[in-house]
Order: sequence, then structure tokens, then C-alpha cells
Amino acid sequence: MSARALAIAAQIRSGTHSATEVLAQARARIESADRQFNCFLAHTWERAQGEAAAIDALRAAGRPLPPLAGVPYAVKDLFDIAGRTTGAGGVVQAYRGPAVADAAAVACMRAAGAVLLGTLNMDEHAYGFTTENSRHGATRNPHDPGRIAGGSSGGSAAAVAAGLVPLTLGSDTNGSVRVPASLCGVFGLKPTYGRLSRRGVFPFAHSLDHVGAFAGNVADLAALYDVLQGPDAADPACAQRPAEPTAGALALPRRLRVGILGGWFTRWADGAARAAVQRAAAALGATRSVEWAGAEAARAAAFVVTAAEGGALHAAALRGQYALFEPLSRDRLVAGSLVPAAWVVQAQAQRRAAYEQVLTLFAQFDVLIAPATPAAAPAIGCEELDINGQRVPTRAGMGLLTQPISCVGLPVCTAPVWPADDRPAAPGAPLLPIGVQLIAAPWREDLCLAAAQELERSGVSALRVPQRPESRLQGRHP
Amino acid sequence: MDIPRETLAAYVQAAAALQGYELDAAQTAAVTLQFARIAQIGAAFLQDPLPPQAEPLPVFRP
Repeated sequence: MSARALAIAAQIRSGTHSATEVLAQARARIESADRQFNCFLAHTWERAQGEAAAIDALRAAGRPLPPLAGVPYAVKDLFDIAGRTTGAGGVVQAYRGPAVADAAAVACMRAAGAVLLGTLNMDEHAYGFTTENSRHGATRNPHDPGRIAGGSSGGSAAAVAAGLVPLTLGSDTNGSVRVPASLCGVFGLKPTYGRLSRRGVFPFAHSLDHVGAFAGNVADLAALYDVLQGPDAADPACAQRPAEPTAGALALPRRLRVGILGGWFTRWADGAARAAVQRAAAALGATRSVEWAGAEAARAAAFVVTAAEGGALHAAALRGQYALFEPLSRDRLVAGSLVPAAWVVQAQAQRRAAYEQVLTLFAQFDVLIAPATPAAAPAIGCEELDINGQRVPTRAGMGLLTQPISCVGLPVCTAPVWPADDRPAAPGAPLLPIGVQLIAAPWREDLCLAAAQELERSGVSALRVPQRPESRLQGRHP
Repeated sequence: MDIPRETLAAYVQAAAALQGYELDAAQTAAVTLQFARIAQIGAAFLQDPLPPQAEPLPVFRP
């Protein structure tokens, strides 16, 4: 059976397989393989059986099937699922009890015929870039289980990378789709801020929170993104603009003007990350570098706004239930709640200035390329990264190159790039991907996806589902 | 912006008390470390005054 979402939907439509058969195979795969990766926090088998049976009944009745009919998927543990308590990667939110309705994105997936298999691991409250969750355990990178999957949507990226499900949902406040997509070698989309409804998604920093998506190829990602689009008045940040489908236009030939982001995006990229950009740039015919001088200020503004909004969100609970919070982020949350108001206001003004500055670059280019992470996946537990001789904390440093972009709300598709000639960084080292960010002007997700598809077509970007790595797990983290 | 360590520690202690946190010495030290990191990163724009017309973004709409 295919691992591609659209191929699965086609097989079900043609009668090659039933949705119930597809579900049974996906369940067997997850129950067998996820013990190694720790992607799933909970399964929703009963709901999945109902959704699969509904698709099979539609087909038996000769009715038209929706676009993702019978396609298995899973969601980050911050999407509401009717009747289940949304954990946001921890236990602090348990007092809220079961959700009364599906999140908007989950409702869209159900309407599109997709079959929900469960919830996925994450950094608690989405505050982190590593998915080293102290309560639930770290999600392991399918390409080397001793390494991190990235975060905060680490379970979402690793589940696609490991071939457990073809589609997953995540969220991105500062890079939480793009960082794990980069480290796990999958395609990820963070749309324009306000494009997708966040109704029923547990928040982190409201003015920066985006819903995003993961897939193993661009056609699947575009199809997934298209079913999630549409205005939603219940989310104050959701743009009241109609859906602008992208999947159909992907087949059209397009000549993209592509620029390479230098400056900040080179300074904080190691040799492997710079090489990934060079490979992608060559495939896209990009030769010109440009600098966005405001990138550092944008990253700093995002850091301060996130700290303050996240801290304020959790301050009341931190006062009474500090011990229940994730040890890796609770001190950061308290510190964020103490940030002076003047800093936050100045950060929000800086965002507008940075936004106006970066927009000028799109007069010359359709798409800008930058690395998604400063380096490939480090080992689980690694406290510091060495980037070009400068040491930075891993949990903050992994977002150095994604934060400036989400700070100003631009759409980004992350595409996986593998080392040239499949040469690892050192003899005997695992072959690890690094993602490149394909960045467009607001509301031009179609251009991000077109660039990603060109990388896919040229052979630079592809999902590589690893062989079962039991042997490599010997002696690794329990 | 180079904020002296003692100033940061005094600010964190006072602001945490104002907000009703009851932190022990180890927790206060850990929070101070994180606050110092925020201040250090924020310095990238906090010393870069924008014109008075630069309007903040209450809800960010690109």
C-alpha cells in the first residue's frame, strides 16, 4: 500500500483497498514501529474505525468521496478532539476536561474524509525546539534514534518521517513546524499568519501562533493545506479571505525568481546547513544573495513577545502548580511573565518595521531561501550547539533562523535536503537531512509550494523513510 | 544594553513578588538566568529607537 496520502485516497476511490484495510495496516505499523520513536501520545482507534467505516459506506452507496477519503493522519497534542482532554504535552491543562468539539482543522480533516489515528508528542505548551518532553519522553529522530526530532511539533514530523502516517498537523509560533521538518527530513508548511483557523488549538503566544502541516511530498502537502483553508470568524486572527487552492496550480510550469538570504541566515548556519542552501539554490537557478538587515531585530522581537505572551498565559497556573510544569521550560515561562511592558510594546513596533523592510525584497524575488535550522539534528540531551565557533543553547538556538520569518508572518515551506552524493558529515556518521525554508510574500503559499515541488522534481528534496533501525538502538536512550 | 547582574536579580525578585510568585532561592536563580537571556536577546532592538510613528501591532495582520 502506498505511503502517499493522495495515492491512498485514489486506491480507496478505485476499490483497490477499503478505508478499513488502510486503517488496519496503519495501526499495525504504528503499534510495531512507534515504540522506537515515541511519536504518539494517545491513539483514537475507536474514532478512526468510525471514520473509516463511514468512508467505506459512502463508496458502497456509490456516493462521491471527499479528497482525503480514508487517509490516516494524526495531530499534535494541542488540537482539540471532541470528547478527549487536550494535554498540550503535559498535565497542567487536564482541569479543562474533554473538548466539546473538534478544533477547526480537525473538523476540516474529517470533512475531507481523513481518518484520525491519535495525538502526537511535543514540547510542553509548545515552548521548545527539541521535543524532549520530561513527562512523555523524547521523540526520537527516525534517521538516528539517538538524536532529537526537533520541536515543538516533533511527534508530527517524526511520524511522517518514520512512515507511520502520511499526513500530520502541527503548530508553529517560532519555528515549531519548520525546525522538526528540517531535522526529520519531511516537508512542512507554515502558512501566512492568519491563513488557517486556530480555533480549538491550545495557544502559546497569540500574536505569533500559526497552524501548520507536514507531509512526505509536495502534492500531499498542498492537498492537505487546501482542505484546511477558509475564513473562520471564531479565530480573531484568522483572515476573512476565501480559500485559495494551491494543489491544482502545482502542475503548471512556473519560472520563479529565487534569492538567497545572506547575513544573519549565513552567520548562524554551519557548513552542512549552508551546503543544503547551495544545493537548493542551484536546483532553483538562484544566484543572487540578498540581506534582510532587520532579521536579527525580528528574531529578538519574536523572542521577547513569545516570552511575554507565553508567560502571561501561564502565570496564574505557575503560581499555584509550578511543580506540574515541564522543568525544561517553567523557569522561562516565569521569566517571560516578568518582562516589562515597554519591551513588549517596542517589540511589537519592531515587528511592523521589520515586516515593511522585508516586503521590499519581494519586488525582486518570488521566493527567498534560507536554512531552516543552524545544523542537522544533535543528540538527545545536547545542551549547546557550536555554530561557526559560537556556542548557543540548543533549545533556543534551533530557532535562530525560523524566528525572524514567523515574526513577520510570511508563508514558508520547508523542504528536506540531503547531503550531496549521500556523504555523511563524518565517516560512519548517519546521513542526516537539513531543511531549507522557501519563503514568499504574504498569502503566496502557492509560490512556496511551487519552489518545493521544483526541488522535489530535481531530486534534491525527498522523503526517505528509514529502514527499521533496531540495531542502531542498542545502548541508546531507554 | 548591558544590565548589571545585581540589577537583573533585584528586578526579578521584585517583579516576581509583585506578581505573587513564591519562588525559593534556586527557582529565583533559574528565573533570573532566563530573564537575563531575554534581556540579552532583546538588546538587539531595545537600543534601536523607532520613530514615534512606528505603531505596535496589537493583532499582527500581514
